[in-house]
Amino acid sequence: MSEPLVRAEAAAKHYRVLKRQRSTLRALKSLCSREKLTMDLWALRDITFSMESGEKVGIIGRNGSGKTTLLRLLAGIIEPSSGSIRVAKEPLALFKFWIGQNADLPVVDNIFLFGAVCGMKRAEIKPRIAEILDCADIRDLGFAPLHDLSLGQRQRLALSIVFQAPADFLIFDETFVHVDQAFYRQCDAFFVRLTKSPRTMVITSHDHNFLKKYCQRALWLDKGRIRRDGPAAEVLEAYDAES
Amino acid sequence: MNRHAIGQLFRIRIKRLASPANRNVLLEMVRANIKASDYHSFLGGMWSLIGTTAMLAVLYFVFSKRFGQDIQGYPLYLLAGIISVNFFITATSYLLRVLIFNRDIALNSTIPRENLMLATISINAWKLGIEMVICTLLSMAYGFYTWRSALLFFPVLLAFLALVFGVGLALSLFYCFARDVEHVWVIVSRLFLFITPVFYTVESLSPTMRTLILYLNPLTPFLKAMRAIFLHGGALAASELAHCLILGTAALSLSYFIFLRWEGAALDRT
Repeated sequence: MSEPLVRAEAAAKHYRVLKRQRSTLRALKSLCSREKLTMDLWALRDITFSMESGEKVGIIGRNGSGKTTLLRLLAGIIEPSSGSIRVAKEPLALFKFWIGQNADLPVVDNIFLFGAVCGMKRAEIKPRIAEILDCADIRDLGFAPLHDLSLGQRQRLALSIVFQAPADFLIFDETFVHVDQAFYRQCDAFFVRLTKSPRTMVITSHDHNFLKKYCQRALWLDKGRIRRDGPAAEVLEAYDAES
Repeated sequence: MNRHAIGQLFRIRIKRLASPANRNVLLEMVRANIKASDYHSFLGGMWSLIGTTAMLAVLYFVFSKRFGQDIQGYPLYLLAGIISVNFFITATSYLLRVLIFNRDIALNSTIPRENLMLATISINAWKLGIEMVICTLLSMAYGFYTWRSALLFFPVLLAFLALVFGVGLALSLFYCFARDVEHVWVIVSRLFLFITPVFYTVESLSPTMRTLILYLNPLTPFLKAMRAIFLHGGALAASELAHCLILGTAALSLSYFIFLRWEGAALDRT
């Protein structure tokens, strides 16, 4: 039997959060009195699941239930505090719609930069620049500084680059909120292609129709624990019934 | 995290850093940083060199009579010192803020945090490179430069970069835990201009001060090495070269060990 793409075993993650605002004096006082300035906040506990290649998984849960932390663990951005998470393939993760940007540089340079983050070389991106600009509907702004673009245009640009990425394993964290109707059609076309492809996807979203349409499986996180794991339609129905 | 876990993490991180995909990301980040910096344009680059030139002029006019009489090529002696110490001060100050300033990228992307540091230091290293070329040309004009100088230059430069990167890595981590680190470093780093033999010679100091400045100030061996390369045709003793290499390697290894051990906790504090 082949190894699953993702295997999480009793994974947990805690953050140390400050009890009150830190100052040097407070830090020194706590050092002398051995009283901790921080407290442990468990974002995830006892997370056990596995994922096969090609699966499309939606993660649902209320705000603060640990969805983003789980995605960060899957992406290898943070390490679990205990337990283990093994991911066989490095994913392309999109948490904010634009990262690694340099707003003073022209759009084209930022396409090269973000394209590299998405796993593409200059030679691969160059012939696709016109297509990316067209898709983002900013064909005439290729040489404008990125800071001249509106937030919506930047979001479209970032997603247009992601649509070109060759990654086999994609992670999206609420990436498609606030896209306009016209661009939503491009996103829809991308997800239709993705659903039919052998690529793997994990996505968090509060849009249940979207998840029902593109994900076969859903994980419901509640207060950092997996409440339910199963076919997307069933899990979403159970979640809706409770909330 | 125990030593075994850090060792495992170290292997994973180095493998990832050296992967072709990451090399491509790093290259694009460096390109973007340099392109967005002053050093990309001719005039911008000139501005950055004006600071060094002005400092050279001031130090030369003030100290050339007192310290420069016995040193052949005193302007080059000063320049090599100013460039090295300025690079140390500027690069560490930039590196110190990397994790805090790039918190969003560090927590929301798979870009290795080391890339953020390397891309940041690349701007200063670019400027250092230009200044070192000027030093080389001056050294050639004086007739000091030999094949031995050329041979020794890169190991010394690499060790120096390792030292600066190591110090910056550690500072960026400490800064996440205590913001006072920035204020302290601003004061301490300025002192390096005076506690490092930039305009005076080590020999002009008392024996006690000489020992202190040579062995407690990590920059002194590098300055001595740079001057041996640019002013003395590469007449650098093996022990002096070893001193530089050990300092650079030790600073980088120790800082990276601390970085791997504490980066998670540090990012929780950003």
